[in-house]
Amino acid sequence: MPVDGTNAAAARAPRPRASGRRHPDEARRAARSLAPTIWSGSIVVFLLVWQFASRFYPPALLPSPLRTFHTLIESIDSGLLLDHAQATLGRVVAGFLLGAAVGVSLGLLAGSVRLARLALDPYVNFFRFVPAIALLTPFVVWFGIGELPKVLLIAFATLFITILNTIAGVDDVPRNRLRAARMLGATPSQIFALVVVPSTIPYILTGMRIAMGVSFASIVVAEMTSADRGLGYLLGYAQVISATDLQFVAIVCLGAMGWAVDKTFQLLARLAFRQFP
Amino acid sequence: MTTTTAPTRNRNPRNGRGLPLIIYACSIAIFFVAWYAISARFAMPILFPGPGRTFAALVQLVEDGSLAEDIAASLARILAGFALGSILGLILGLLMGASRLIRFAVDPYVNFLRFISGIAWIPLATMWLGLGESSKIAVVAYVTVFAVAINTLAGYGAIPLARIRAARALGAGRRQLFFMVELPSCIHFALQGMRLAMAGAFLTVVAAEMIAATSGLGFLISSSRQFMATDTMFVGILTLGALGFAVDKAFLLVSWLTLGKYRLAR
Repeated sequence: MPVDGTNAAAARAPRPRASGRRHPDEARRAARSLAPTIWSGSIVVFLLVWQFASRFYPPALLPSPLRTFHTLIESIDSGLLLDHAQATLGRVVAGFLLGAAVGVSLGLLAGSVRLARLALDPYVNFFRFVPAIALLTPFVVWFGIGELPKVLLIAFATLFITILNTIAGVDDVPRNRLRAARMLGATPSQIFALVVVPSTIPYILTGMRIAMGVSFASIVVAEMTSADRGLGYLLGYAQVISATDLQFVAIVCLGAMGWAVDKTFQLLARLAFRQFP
Repeated sequence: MTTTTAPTRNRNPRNGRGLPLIIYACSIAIFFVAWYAISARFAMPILFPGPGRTFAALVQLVEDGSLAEDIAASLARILAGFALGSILGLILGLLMGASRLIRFAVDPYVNFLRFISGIAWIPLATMWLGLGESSKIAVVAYVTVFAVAINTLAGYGAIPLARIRAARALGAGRRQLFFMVELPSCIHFALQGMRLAMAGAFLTVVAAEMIAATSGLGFLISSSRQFMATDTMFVGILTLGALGFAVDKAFLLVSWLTLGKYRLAR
């Protein structure tokens, strides 16, 4: 394993042992300094292979990376991409907040009240196996092709994952923390608000993070089949006019949005975990 | 499950015995009554069919064999894609864990692609691989690969350093270390990843069948929109839920029967 001599972290590391096998921590540190080189090398190789391969196919089948990049710039400049991304994000956020609000409330209720838990159990255990997309068709029949069915679809996708995780969080509140609060004279409502809810927040955020992934998947189908705006619509439209480069742009934009939202959640979860270890 | 942690929960253990079943039954009965009551309020039963109509549609679809055909079509796509994706994901995850070079080389793609749902690839997969089975299987496999690979890699990261050191101290070579320590330590994580991936596989296959297919449960649901056959939609949705439940339990059972100490809990 070659070590980059100019790297400060590697230079500070202890010298390799005589046995030949280095201490694992040291090897890890050395490897970390190599990571950016391999990353960028890997990406450059990929782009070169892509550019090379695209020479043998018509652009409608496999557009070159340069052409795709050009389309990306063009669709950003014309405001097209922003417009569609905004529509998608608006639907996802609205449905997500609705689903998460209902899901967290029901989860806290079911976690704390045995009767509610037992009454909810059969539905949670059945509907969590129903893919949200399956409800798209009846929602369109009932609510038309406007914003409402899409928002409700995302809310449904979010709801059950959030309920399950919230219940798991309430179950995992450390018993000693509850006992301590009770011993110090906290009333049941105080325990709920000051112990149970804060301890459950990391679980809730994890559930919401998973749900966000499902939401982004579900909205694409909803927009492909019944919408006139949104990245899913753009994707379907690009397919119809055989603009494969535009499809790539829409796919990458969806991925980037999913990534950004996920990172936000990770940050929130880390802050929450720091406060409630 | 006798210990309760939430403060407001009933603390008398004797109360918990026969109660769950009664509440379960009541809760399900209330659901059916509410369903019936809501459907009776609709002037056009076609918009919101009650339990009776839905059951009749179920019986009809079972009798003419079309439900079984659609279940078989969806299940075949899911299982083929899932098996392919699981094998590739396991290999990828193990390679990423065992070799830093591969991990760093593959890392940007895995971390980029895992945020792109399989559904977004459906139009492209259809164009590249045609309208047949292979495009659906490819998309399901795509969804499975990342869940399995990321979880397997997480399993690699969770191997206790002491275990690796112990094996090394006892003279294990690189190959022995891989097959006798690293691989067994990752199996549990890989199985968890596969279980998560199964939900994604269902979601993706339904979407693919809605967008580009002429069979399967997703097609059953989306095509009944053209005939306003809402009762058929309900049958499709309920069947999907039951199928997901059954496949999840079957997966646990298989892991229980075949994998011995590596099986999943519950």
